[in-house]
Amino acid sequence: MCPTSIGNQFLIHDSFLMKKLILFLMTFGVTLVVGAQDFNHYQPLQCSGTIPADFITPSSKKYKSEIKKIASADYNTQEKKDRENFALESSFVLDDLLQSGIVLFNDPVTLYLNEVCGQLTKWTPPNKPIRVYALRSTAVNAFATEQGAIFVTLGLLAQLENEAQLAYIIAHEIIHVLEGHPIDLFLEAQSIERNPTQRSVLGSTTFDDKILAKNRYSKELETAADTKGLDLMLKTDYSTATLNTVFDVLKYSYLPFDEVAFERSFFETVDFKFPDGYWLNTVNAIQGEDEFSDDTKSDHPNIGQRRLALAQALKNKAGAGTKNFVLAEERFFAAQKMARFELPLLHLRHGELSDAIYTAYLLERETPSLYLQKCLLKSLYLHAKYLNDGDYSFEVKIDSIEGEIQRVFKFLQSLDKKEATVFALQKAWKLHQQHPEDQETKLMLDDLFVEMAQHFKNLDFFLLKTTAIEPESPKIDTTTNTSKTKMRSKFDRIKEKQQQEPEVKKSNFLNTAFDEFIKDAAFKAAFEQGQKAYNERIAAEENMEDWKKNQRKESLRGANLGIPKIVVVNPFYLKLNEKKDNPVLYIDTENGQNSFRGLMQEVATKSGLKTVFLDVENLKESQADRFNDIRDLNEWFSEQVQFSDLSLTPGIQQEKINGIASKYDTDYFLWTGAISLLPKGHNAVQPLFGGLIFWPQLPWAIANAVKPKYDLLYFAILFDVKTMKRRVIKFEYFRYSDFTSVVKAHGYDAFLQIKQKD
Amino acid sequence: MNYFILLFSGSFFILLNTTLPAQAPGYLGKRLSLHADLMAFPALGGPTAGNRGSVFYGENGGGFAFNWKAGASLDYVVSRKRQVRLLLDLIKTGMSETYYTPSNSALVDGQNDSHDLFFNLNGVSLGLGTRGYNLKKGALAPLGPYVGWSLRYTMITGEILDKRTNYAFRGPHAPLGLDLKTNRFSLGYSFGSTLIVADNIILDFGANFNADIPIANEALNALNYGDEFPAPFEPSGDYVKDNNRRYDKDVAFRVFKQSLFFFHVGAGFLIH
Repeated sequence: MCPTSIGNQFLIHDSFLMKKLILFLMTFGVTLVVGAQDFNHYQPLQCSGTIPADFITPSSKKYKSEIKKIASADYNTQEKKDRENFALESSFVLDDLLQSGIVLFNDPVTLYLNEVCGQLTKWTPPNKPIRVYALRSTAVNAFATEQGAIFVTLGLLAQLENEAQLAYIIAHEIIHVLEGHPIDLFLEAQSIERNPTQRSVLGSTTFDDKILAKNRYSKELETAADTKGLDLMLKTDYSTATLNTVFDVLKYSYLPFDEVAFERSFFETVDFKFPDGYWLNTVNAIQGEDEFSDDTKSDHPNIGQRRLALAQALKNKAGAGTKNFVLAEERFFAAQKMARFELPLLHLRHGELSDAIYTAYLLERETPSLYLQKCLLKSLYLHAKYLNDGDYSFEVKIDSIEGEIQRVFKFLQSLDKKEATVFALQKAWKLHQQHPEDQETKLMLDDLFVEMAQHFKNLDFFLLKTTAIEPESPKIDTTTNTSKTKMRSKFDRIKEKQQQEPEVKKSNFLNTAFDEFIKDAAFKAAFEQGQKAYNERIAAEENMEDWKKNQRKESLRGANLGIPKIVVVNPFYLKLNEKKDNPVLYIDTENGQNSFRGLMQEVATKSGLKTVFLDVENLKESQADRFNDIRDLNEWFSEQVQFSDLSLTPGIQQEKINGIASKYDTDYFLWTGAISLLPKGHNAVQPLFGGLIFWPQLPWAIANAVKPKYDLLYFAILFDVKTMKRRVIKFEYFRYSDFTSVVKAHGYDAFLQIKQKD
Repeated sequence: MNYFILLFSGSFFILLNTTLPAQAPGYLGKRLSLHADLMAFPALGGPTAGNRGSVFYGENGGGFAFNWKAGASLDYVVSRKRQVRLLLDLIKTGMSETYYTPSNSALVDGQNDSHDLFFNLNGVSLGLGTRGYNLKKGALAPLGPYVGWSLRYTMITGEILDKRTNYAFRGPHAPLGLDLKTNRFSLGYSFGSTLIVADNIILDFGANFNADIPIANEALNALNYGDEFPAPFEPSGDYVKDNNRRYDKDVAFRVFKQSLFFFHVGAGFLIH
């Protein structure tokens, strides 16, 4: 838990009354929503209600407001400058986080977190309003921003034992806010950077010394937050009896939220078993992080020190609180269950397939659910797809993994691509039989049949039960052994050894994979369909001549897709100066973003293409549904980028995306953006010399020296979100072309190519 | 020579007609534009119309000056990378040459009067051109970096502004008999880049080369003088005819030097 794990940011908040009102509304809504979740058909957490001002107030507005405050305060020139820099970076970086979609608002978990926070803020000054947001992340972390936003990850909530522990963590973060730790840390770091020799801790100015000095200060702040956070806790009804366990949460934070034996029967049936070699007999013992590890290079004190400090403080202080749950106990466990249910999906998004399987397994044991079965299937499906792609490396140092999850890692790593495909298909077929209405399962199933075609041309292999290959006995001619030994080469010996050591006959088990339904006509038909689709795909890929011809044609005439309506998702603009330490020009970026969005809307209208623009910056407070749509679409897009080498892989929550497509009445979604860039190698002097020799160039050389022209990257990528087919309409790089007309011309062209038909 | 004008403009519209079905975005849907260009380069190979430049006529003249050419064009975007152009250029430059006429002396045969002449050459050229915009560099007709080709038919009218004659003998003299009208074909290559401001104004910066097409010009000479085509230049014995042929070549060479390389700046307006 740290004050600023996203970079010393802080927020500008709305009026206190407004926040109180929102908090009231949150409290009112929570019981309704917590009880509404159906875990069999679990729906991932969605934002709802009024969008908080934190999310939709432009960064520049927040920044300007901060600048006003700084200007009116009595700081010296250097501190003023540092504070302005902090305000600049924190406003914009935090906005990026808020708009990224990983921060939740008005969802059941966030509402609950705010209620717990409310138990603590009863004892804090009212002039510093605090609000908590749940962060969709598997990390075990919490952090705070200067002006009162506290973020708690779902990964952290998933690990805690009770509400009192959660309250202690929030109390720790509240202290960071109240004491202004983020800005203190930033100012101290700036001071160390500028004048390291003046710091008593330093004898020299090396990079390491600076880091040590910064970390030392950061640890001081963490210790203060621990101590004062406890003081705050002691004022409440919360018990401090289990606080020591909070440090266990930190100690074992790299493990899943529970430690339960992973039974191989979870994946096997009576007739279908994987070779024993795929399963570990024992797993590595859990060590946990070293409590008294050297923390000189860490910005937090080590766990042991913190634990001791807490114990010491508790000896001297006594609180009246006795409750592990001040709010209803079931509220905590309901919120935690939701947090845990989120984890398999979050792991899937990060490509952490073993983690996704294991967390789904843990949950499925207690709450069987279609949602969890789908998460499992998605993991197996993606694993098969990655392996079939060939370029994917699934190398994990299994030996370094601790606990039961090690079995899952070992199992996945043991599967070859054929086995992974067959197993995923088996699971998909079974799930489809149980839930024929589920579209996501059907999508994966259909695609797995296509993947199967890479390995099997027919189903004979699965029908020939009696021909299971037995390991052949080594055929060594013992009669002439002595004489042959002398003659044998290294390679003869290798071959002999291979004969003597019968390999695990993988194919022995694989042909029983479809026993339960191999004779099902529907299965056979689906298999044939997969073969057909695969052959068509291969034929299309092989016909490069047509492709080249089309490319040539398109370069002259455009793609001409004849699509009447699209949705444009979050038009994106970024301005970078690579010559600066922090290359992002925040204010220019925000201004450019507004301008870019306006230009895109203008040219879309001009092109006559029906367009809907989904953009966080343009949302009204009441449009939380659109906020969710943008988040889901952006995550889907990220997945597609991640899967770019895999053929037409559905998104992890494809059904939701299909729903969004239906809602907006089009299957076509455009991601478009521009990056304006001043490269590191940009040289203003050289053209000036050039201009002296080649005089017509001189005016441009002077202009470029005075106001450098930025390069421009413009892209427009159109997806059919239901078929996952994509068209890169534009991916253009312009040198020295940061002109409105260039963006307009290419934007218009992109929209026209989408609209026009040959 | 009106049929050449007809030929160029006719070709332009035929070209437009055949390429119109192509899908071209133009700039925000606008494909037709009208341009004015100014081309200039220091006068190094001959005098300007005002007798300035590094080579000049007589005693008074010289100094740094520019050769120039002004142009106008009607441009039409026919595809994402191509534009066709109907070109109209005005040329104005100077030329200093010496011509000879036979002296009419009864005493000595074969003596010539020499005439040092300073001409102003005023030309109008009509041409057909095309520009290819470099899609790989992010261009999109009519915006961005381009290379262009053009074919021009230039009609040049000379005007003698100064004449200094050295007579071989006193007595009657033969007239110079120059026909001061010359027509040439030339091929142009240009490169540059365009910007668009305020959605309607096109700014164009670049350079262009122009060179005569010798074979085409020989064909013109054959038409004018009844020469064999292709034919070497040999004195015909008819001094008027020979002077006119020389004059045509001199004009062609002067215009060639003058137009060989120009920087150009231009402004255009997107009409439709």
